[in-house]
Amino acid sequence: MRKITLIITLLLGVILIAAPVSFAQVNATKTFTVSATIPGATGISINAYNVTGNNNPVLVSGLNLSFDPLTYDPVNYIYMPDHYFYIDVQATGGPGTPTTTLTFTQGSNPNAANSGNGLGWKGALTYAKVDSLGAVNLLPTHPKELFKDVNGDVVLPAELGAGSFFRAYLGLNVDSTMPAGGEMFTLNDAAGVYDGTLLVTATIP
Amino acid sequence: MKRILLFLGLCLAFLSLISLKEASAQLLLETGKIALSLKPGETAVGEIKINNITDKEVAVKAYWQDFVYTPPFDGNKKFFPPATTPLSCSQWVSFSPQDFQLKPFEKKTISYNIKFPASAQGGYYGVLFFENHSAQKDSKTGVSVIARVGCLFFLETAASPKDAKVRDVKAVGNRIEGDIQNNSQIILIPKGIFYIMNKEGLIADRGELGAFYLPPGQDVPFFINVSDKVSLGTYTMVLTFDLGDGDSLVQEVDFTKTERSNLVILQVRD
Repeated sequence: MRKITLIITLLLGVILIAAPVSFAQVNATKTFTVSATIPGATGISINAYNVTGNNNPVLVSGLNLSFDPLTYDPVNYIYMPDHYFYIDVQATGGPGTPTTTLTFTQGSNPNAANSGNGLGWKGALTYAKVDSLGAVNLLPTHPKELFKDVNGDVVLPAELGAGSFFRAYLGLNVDSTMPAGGEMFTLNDAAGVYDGTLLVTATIP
Repeated sequence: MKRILLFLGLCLAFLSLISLKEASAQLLLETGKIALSLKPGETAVGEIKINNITDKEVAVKAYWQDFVYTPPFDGNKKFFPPATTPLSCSQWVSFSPQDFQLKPFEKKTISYNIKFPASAQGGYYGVLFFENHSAQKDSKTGVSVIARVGCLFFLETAASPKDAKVRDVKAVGNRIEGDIQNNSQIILIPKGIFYIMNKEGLIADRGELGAFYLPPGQDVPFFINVSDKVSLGTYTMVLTFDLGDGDSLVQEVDFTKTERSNLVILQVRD
């Protein structure tokens, strides 16, 4: 009886040891396709930041980009802000770049009573792109514009390139680098609030 | 006591700085495009999610507009009031809520309902915008930003055929140019790639064309510069436009590159 039990146990052992080998032999020629798909961008975000002096940019929690306080520079005879803004338009959820459309509409203009110009002439928007390493480059297809000339301007993904996103800088004119026809705030301007609205529209292509 | 108060004050200032820096996007739309293939008479429902990732409450207005891709059909589009363009679908789409508050860091789900009419045939398009309403003018010199993010809707009848044709292929100097025409009833987004093969079947050059966003009935020119990598001789250019969902349009162009880099087209085949 012991011999029979021993033989059965040995046979079972042999079967159990051999079975995985035989299965492995059956599956030895099976091939697997290995793949990975990176999902494309699904969403969009628009952020505005304030840059004051050499400080780090700070996200603007609201959407009012105020250049106040303006201080008078007696050397150059102009009013100057101590900060500027930029707006980033980015895809979210994966690689991709939105199409961005920008339109400025002038609002309050205390100079209107004297047939003078408002914020549309006093500030400018600079078109730039930010690459995946954070390097900022101006967009050659979109030269710097006075606010008044920002009217349905479209920045396409093809202008930015893969991995880059669009950045718009907004600032008041404070030197000769302003676009042709631009003006700076001087003592000749009427006192009061100068404002306008920038419509930033972002969709995927 | 003074030291404790000073310490607490510093802690509060530090915490306020942290919370400011941790604030992120003002409005974040999770879905930028919805493409649906629908049967005439079918009803479709779905959801879009929008996030306020700031620490401030935001008032949001949702509204519909039509959009149209415009020449040179490189993705540039114009927006119009609803039901004012030929391929508008605004009258079939409803969504809710339309005006709402987003609390700090809140995510909201917007439901949409599309009643695709029985008479629908081809493609219909529109965009659902979400606009931040919090931009109250603050009586300071500056710019109020109205930020709106849009979700594009592409509603097309199921199994709408994609019919495109390459026309007027010709050589001009050292480049090959032609037109691609959309003969279907839906927007096509052809993405072109090409390779140039010599008589031995070896690739002399390859490249790609940007995507075109081509409404029904429209055509757009394309240009392919044959680079200096291609020496004098006879070649075949295989031009493939990927039309999406496995559909493609292939054109073969036999040409000779002569002295002074001029090209002469020998034959154009489908």
